Amino acid sequence: MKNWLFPCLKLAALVFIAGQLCACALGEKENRRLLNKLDESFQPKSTAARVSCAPLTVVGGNVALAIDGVVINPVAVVPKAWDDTYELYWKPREADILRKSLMFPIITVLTPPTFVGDWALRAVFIGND
Amino acid sequence: MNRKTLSFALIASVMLLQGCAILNRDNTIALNWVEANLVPDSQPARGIAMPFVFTVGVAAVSADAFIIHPATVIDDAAEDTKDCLWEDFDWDKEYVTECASLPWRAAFTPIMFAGDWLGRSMFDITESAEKARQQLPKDVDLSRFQATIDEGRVEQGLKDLEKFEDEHRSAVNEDPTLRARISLIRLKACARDDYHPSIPTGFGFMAFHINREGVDPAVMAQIDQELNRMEASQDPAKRWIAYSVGFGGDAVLATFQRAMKDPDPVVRYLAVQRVGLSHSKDEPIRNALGAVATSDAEPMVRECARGVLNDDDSFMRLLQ
Repeated sequence: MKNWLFPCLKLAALVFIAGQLCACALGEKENRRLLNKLDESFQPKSTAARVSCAPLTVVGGNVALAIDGVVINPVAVVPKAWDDTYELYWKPREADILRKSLMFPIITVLTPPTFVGDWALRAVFIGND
Repeated sequence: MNRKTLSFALIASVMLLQGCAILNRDNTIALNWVEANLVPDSQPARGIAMPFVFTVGVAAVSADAFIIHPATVIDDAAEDTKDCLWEDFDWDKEYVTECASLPWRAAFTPIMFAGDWLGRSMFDITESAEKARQQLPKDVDLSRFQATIDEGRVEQGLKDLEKFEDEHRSAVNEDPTLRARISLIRLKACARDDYHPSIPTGFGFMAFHINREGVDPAVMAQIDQELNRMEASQDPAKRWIAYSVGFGGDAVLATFQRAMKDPDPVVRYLAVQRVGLSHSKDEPIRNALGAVATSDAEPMVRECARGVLNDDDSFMRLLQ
């Protein structure tokens, strides 16, 4: 029994932690694009309809939340992450050619990790503010 | 570190943490009882009884720390958990989101409750949301601040009002009408002919922010009346305060258009900065900013509007 229980618990813990981390960005309404669409299109009016639809909606809503957190939000923040990186390193500034030449290799090396870090931060915590 | 030392260190640190809660007399019910009933009043008896009273006192304070106080904060922890996780549902507009949130709310309920209960058991957190609401009656009397201001001691009245607001922060935040009544007194003070407020710089305008939602319409009508008076004032600082309140409301464009007709270029400049801060992406505001960027009489104002339209951070940094 222990053979399968431990990996399952580990997976559940990972999913839980990932869910928590995503929740930071998903806590903001504007970062829940798919869920917002579902909210707009599915609004049962009567209490009876709401109660009877709830079991399926709980599951469907969480699937939508997961898609928002794992797919849509991370993709949606790519342009913003690039904007941040551009602002930080590549935006034209007043500098002489020597300084620019010296800085060029440094910012070239720093660009990928900065972009990835910013993207991860935005995907998980900040969103597209 | 052996097991004995570790246990001692754990107990000692828990005792230390518990100290935070039991330092408040309100949290030591058993010790209060011992003090009131078992300590003799006269001196010889007091000295003789001391060994016994001290032993009972230690037992009482331990009971307070580990049993009585933790038991009495259970309802506060439950209230906090309910306020934090099980309120503010919007089933009409966000049915799917609310459904999706149910398992998460359920999963977090025991964690939140346990954490809150432990925190309240160990530290002196006496204020719950419900208690904070109870601390002030619904129609709390603010006339003393108004009276001080009416006597001509405007600075003192405003200072007292700020102190009152700080002391009852949570109650004020939870009652939109009370918050608006405080803002009304502040506005009335600023509108006085014998008072000349300075133009709020940086984010100072936030002191005059008024959230109209949930405010008693009668109070809101008085605020609007004061704002109209201030907009018509000869004092640019008063006019600017009135505009900055408007920028926090629904009629941002109308307020901006009025502010742009202000004779003082500093007021117009600040208005451009202010809308740039929070409304620079709104299309109607951008159109109005475009008109300012080309036609305002003051080059500084035109330049500022262009900066906001071009999303130039340097203009926004000036505010910070």
